Amino acid sequence: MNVLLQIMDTAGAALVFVGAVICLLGAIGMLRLPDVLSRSHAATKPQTLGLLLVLAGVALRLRGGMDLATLALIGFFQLLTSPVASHLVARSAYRTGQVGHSELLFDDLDEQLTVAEEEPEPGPGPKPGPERD
Amino acid sequence: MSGPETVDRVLLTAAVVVLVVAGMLLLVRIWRGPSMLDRAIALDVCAALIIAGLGARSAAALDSFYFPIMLVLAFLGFTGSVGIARFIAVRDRPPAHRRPAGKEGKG
Repeated sequence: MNVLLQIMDTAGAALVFVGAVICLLGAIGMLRLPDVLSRSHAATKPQTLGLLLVLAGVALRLRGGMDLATLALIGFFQLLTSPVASHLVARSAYRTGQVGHSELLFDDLDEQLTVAEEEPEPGPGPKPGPERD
Repeated sequence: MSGPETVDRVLLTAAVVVLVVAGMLLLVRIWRGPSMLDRAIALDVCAALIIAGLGARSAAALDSFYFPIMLVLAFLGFTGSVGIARFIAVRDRPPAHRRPAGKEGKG
């Protein structure tokens, strides 16, 4: 039994280390990738995979019921909130023109925005102010 | 100190060192980042790195003292980048990539 606990301790430390290395990979990607969208792609790795590995390692080392519940909540909230931030950042990057359009293979959103702009307005004139949908 | 505990100690210390190096690279990105959106993404990653560092510290010390801080960071760490993307980045446009003609000025 003692050997099993020791194996769990070492496996937890190894998981924490692997998660930290994945966080480092994400940071290197943040530094080297050229675009807001590709940087957002690189930012996803430390936020989800690295953090979940670190939390799994901590859970393997601590092994208490309350600690496991708190760690599960941390992972759940991270999984819940990081897509929201990522989506809003990518949307704002597209709307403010920081996406390299020549490097995209498919761009359905541009087509939809253009079609929506070319439709005749039902009201007496174009709405003032920026689009906020 | 026996053998496996030394291995654990070395692994956790290396994890903390790797996380600190990743944080320094992120600081370079926050410093250089051409637009506010890059900084927003980098701050988001920075919150994740702080959570991972606190997790590594908790795994090394075998206590759960910092778990509420990790929970609050995981729950509220995205508000900063959402605020930047929603309210600040619209006014801050770097002159690099441009949209096709006729679509400037759409917030």
